[in-house]
Amino acid sequence: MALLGLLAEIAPQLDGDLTDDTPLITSGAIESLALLSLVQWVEARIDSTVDITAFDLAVQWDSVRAILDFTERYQSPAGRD
Amino acid sequence: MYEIVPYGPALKDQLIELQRHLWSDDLALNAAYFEWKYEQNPYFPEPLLQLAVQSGRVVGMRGVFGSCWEAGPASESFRIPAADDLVIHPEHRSQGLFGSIMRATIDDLAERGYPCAFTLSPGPATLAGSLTTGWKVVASMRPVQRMTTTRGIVSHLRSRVGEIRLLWRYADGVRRLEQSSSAARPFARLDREGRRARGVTRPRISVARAPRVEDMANLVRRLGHDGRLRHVRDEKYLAWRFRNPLHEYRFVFCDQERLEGYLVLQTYRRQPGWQFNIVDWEGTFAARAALLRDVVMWGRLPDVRAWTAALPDDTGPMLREHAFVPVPTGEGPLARHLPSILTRPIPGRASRSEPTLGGRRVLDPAAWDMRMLYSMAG
Repeated sequence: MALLGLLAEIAPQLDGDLTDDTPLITSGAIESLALLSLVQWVEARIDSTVDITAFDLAVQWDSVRAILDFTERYQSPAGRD
Repeated sequence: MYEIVPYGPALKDQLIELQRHLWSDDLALNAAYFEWKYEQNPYFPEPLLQLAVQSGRVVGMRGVFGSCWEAGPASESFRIPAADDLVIHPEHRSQGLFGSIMRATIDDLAERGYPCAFTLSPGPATLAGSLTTGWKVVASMRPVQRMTTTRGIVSHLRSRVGEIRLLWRYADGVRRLEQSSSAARPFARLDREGRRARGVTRPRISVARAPRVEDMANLVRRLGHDGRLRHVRDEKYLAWRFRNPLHEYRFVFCDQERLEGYLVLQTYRRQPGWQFNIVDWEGTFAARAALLRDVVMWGRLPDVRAWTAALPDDTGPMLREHAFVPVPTGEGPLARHLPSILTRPIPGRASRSEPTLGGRRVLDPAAWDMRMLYSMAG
């Protein structure tokens, strides 16, 4: 599933307002159970576990652009398109 | 549209009804728990809760109960808010309510001048939500458990059968059957063996249904404080703490001329006998060893757990000798961080980017002497 598709499911309140830079964490659009789904999406994408207690989510995952940058940075060579 | 409002007594009945989704289905029990935790709390004179309301109906809440900690060479004490009891009605989840309630909670605590807040027993959803709202994990509590052979087989069977969709009802049946024998009187065997041994053993080990508040507080004072961050365990706290109506406790004491140690066991009234926790364990080395030995031998409790993150170094071998092993990590991205404690600085005049109490960095796991007693898990 693409990231936008996931966000449409887990944060339906964004409802068409979503851009690459829409705040997701600091706005409260992604929280608790939605975050767990997002973690699983990122982990599947980079084929590795992610320790979300080890970095600041409000900085590194606050937008679609930031999340895709994160996955690009940590994606294993074998997992790249 | 939602409105976030501070708690007032007019909303108490609705709050207690909402807590069917977290505490229990029993409204009288929920009311007793609320009154104990928030109205009779020894540190905060009034309940501090933020509620989400829609069209006059309470659909979400976050509570903050009072706790009192001591830290540093002078054992300076601090009243710290402990956030707990997050619940959002299932029809209102994924609407951004978690963040709204948490922001209102933090704003309220900032106005009251607290330097930081703790969360001491988060579940996976609360932990995840907390990480999006500025909370930091201090440490996992490194839980260990000791299962009887029967319980080990039942747990294994249940997990295996649970994987097969058509047989999941059978798995629950297995669990109920195993549980039924101990549910009515979960401490029956421990109580009986404790009565039999009365006056026979040296040191004298006894089992009681009520805490010896003064003796326990005196023992804690006598043993001293190494300066790590820990909850104050004085008479006032202990008298309040063990009245938790959701839990049942047993107090195992080790006496010579005076109290030399105690071990407090707890089980959940919602699932009595399914799991037991060592929520506090204090005393001289010899007393602690004797207490653990007799609890294991007398109780034959099917599943006993303890948090080991802050226990003294001499305790590890003691637990291993009695077949305690690490609790297997659950599934999910945050499972290895549970159970854990969280902290968050409160913005305002007393704030720091990394709070300290009594000169101890709150984010430093080594600064804590954390026991299950201080968390509502126990």
